[in-house]
Amino acid sequence: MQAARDYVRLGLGGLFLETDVYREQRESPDGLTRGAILVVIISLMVAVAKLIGRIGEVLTSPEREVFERALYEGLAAMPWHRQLSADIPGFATSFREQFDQVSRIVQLVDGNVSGDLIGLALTPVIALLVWSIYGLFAHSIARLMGGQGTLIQTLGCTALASGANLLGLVQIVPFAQVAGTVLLALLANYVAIREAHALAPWRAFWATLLGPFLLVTLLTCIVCVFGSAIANAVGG
Amino acid sequence: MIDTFNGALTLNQTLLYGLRESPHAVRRGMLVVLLVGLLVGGVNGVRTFMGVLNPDREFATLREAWFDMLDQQALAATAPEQREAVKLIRENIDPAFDLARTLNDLPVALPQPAGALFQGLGVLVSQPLSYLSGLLIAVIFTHIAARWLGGQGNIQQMLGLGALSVAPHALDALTFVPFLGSAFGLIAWGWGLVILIVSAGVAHRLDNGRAAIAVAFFPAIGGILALLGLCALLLVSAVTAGLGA
Repeated sequence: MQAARDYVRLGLGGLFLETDVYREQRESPDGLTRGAILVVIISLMVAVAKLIGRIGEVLTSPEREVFERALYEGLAAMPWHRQLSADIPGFATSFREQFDQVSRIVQLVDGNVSGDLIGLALTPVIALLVWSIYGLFAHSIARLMGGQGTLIQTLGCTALASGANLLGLVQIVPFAQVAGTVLLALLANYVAIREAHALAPWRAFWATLLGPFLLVTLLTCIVCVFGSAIANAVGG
Repeated sequence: MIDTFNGALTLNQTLLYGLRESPHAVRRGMLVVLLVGLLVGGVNGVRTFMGVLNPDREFATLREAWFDMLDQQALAATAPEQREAVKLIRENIDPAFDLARTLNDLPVALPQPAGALFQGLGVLVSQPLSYLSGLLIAVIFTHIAARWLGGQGNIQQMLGLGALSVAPHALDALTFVPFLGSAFGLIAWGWGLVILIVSAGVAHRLDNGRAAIAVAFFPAIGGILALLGLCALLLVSAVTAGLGA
């Protein structure tokens, strides 16, 4: 029970950017273990909340196929569609293709319950991966900027930033929209790096932002390289 | 929490300085955001709930608004293309509302009140996060500018104090009032801006002039960039049209 209370305190301390909690985590001999457990617990809680909310949405929304069919038939029966079909040869076929393409994109973005179930299993792994990669980058940059913390202290403190994800628990309510978690997580990471390395505010600022910036640049380069390779292969 | 809310609205100096020195500044500030968000979200949630339960009334109101707008467009239209576009939209409005009614009446697993309740609750719990998101953007940019101007506060102090600027947005709960709604929204925005300036001054130990510059700096840069972008776009359009002619 005491352990559960400790994790609640750590999560809320991370969410509310409480310096004492970050300092306590920096000095804790088992900060890394506690941090890893906190990241897993919060990611699982949010994934479960999201799944419950999704089930509520599915139960109160029409089936996707039925909705898409009704929407297409309704659009095709409207005066503008009839007029354009009469004026432009091939318009109806082209419209159908565009409609199907948009439907596929919406389906991909919107997801489904089975996708959320798979996500539930993968979420802790992804959360741990993101936390450790971000922590490694941030630690390297903080050290380059004169930081004094160890990697374990950095990871222990940045784990508290996952407290920002507690806001995602609102997704337990169907149709709820989450906003602000990314910015709050960035702020929490800034406090974490500042406290873990005893850095001046501007150095902590750059150590917080350069990591994600380099990661995004790296990912963009990889996507560009592989994207052009795939395009070349398809193009023959 | 109510004391913090009242103190924010009246710019109570004891509250502001006390919050700056508090180790729980962010927690206390976020409670104000939560309170205001739940109040406004509650009103909006009830309106959403009623709207989902009475779709015909919602559709009728929307339809009337569309036709009013089209009447104004028709009066303002000078070119034949504009008049043609207004005519085309007018012909399609009723079929579009018929389609919306058809989609709304599609069968679902749970009875309609459950869906209405879920949607209302969704609006209720989303509103505090919506305020928080806007607040974070304002606070981060203000904090950066304030530090450039010699401010001494940390991000927790800035966020905790800046959160008080959400307090006047309790007036957003009245934005549904006909004719006066937008005035309430404007008062809330202006009042919130004043609180943000005073809060930035207290958090960073800056005078009000510098605090106002810190708050306005990045929005001003954004505005200038947007203006330059618009000018460039107009210039490119004019050059393209000139080349085409």
